[in-house]
Amino acid sequence: MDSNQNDISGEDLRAALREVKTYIDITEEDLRKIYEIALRHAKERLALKIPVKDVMTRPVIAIKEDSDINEAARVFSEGNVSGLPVVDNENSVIGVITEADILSAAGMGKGYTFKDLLRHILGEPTRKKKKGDKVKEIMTTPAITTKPDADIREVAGILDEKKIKRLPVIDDENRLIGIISRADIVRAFNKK
Amino acid sequence: MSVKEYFIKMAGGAKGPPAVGLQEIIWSWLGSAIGIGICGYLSSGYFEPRDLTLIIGSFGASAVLVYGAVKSPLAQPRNLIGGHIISGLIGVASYQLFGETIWLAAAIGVSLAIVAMLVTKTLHPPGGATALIAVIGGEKVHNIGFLYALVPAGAGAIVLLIVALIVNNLSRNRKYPEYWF
Repeated sequence: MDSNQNDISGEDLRAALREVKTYIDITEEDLRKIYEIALRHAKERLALKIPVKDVMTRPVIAIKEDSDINEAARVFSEGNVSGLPVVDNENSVIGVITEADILSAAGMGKGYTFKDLLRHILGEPTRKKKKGDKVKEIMTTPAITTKPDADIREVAGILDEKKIKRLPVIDDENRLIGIISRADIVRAFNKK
Repeated sequence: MSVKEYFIKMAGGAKGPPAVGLQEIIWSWLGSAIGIGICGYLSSGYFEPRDLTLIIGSFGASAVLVYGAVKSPLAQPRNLIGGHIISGLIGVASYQLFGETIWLAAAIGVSLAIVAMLVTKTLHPPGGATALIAVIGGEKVHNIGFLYALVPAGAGAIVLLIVALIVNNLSRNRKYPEYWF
């Protein structure tokens, strides 16, 4: 830690107080104390932060939106994964496809089961029956994504809240650059 | 804490905040002159003929806060209005229960007013004076009874608040309130 960088002089504090223009009932010393405590909290928070880019999986397997379902099924079994981001020709993420989507399209999810009813009551997304041969016809869209600089704590919250297992990581141009899964997050905390 | 440390605390050592500019001083003067002026005018014209009042000593202290230290949490509407009404109620109750012994009623009134303001997040230092005046303010105040909490305490505070909203926000450097509740 560079202490000089964070040292704030009495003159700085007096200048700040003057800049506010109106009377504030705080002494220079108290202002310094509050500033230092807030700075310490900010540092602790930043030190604990683990950015998504440090733990995400890359390169990432994705599937094109106009691939057919058989192609997707093959990628699932060969890549030993259960969910894939779906991208368009510009490598932009437009959806997510999971094994469940394929099973549903293949006719496994006939009607609504008791479990679906429970999901509905609990506010989770119900698995709709999907029809189609192309990935883009049965994928879940829009995809929930995250950015490389996000804190994995944030991602953990989203995964938990939405009851999903992975998030595609995109750059500022919406292009797919990685994927972060529950396992990646668990691994990151274990290392720490 | 050693005895030495105890006494060292009394040395202070921190510097006070810098003085404010001339503009600030003028706005503080203008707001308080108008606020107290209106309270006094209404009081003598409309309230005193009916054996009421709209002006009590604690408003002088409120004026310092709402026109002179507008950013202070102590000067915000919740504190200004809540502090006066709550302290007024406690002051009157204290007088009615312990008024036989004025010094006791005064001590209980002021101290419990502070406690109540802290509990309700309405700490407003002039509230302490409002509670004290309810006890030591003489027969005229005692005759008002619990109405004292609303008139003059609450109503006068509202007059000060309205003037503060109008005058403080005319200044380029001021914004009032910081928050309402």
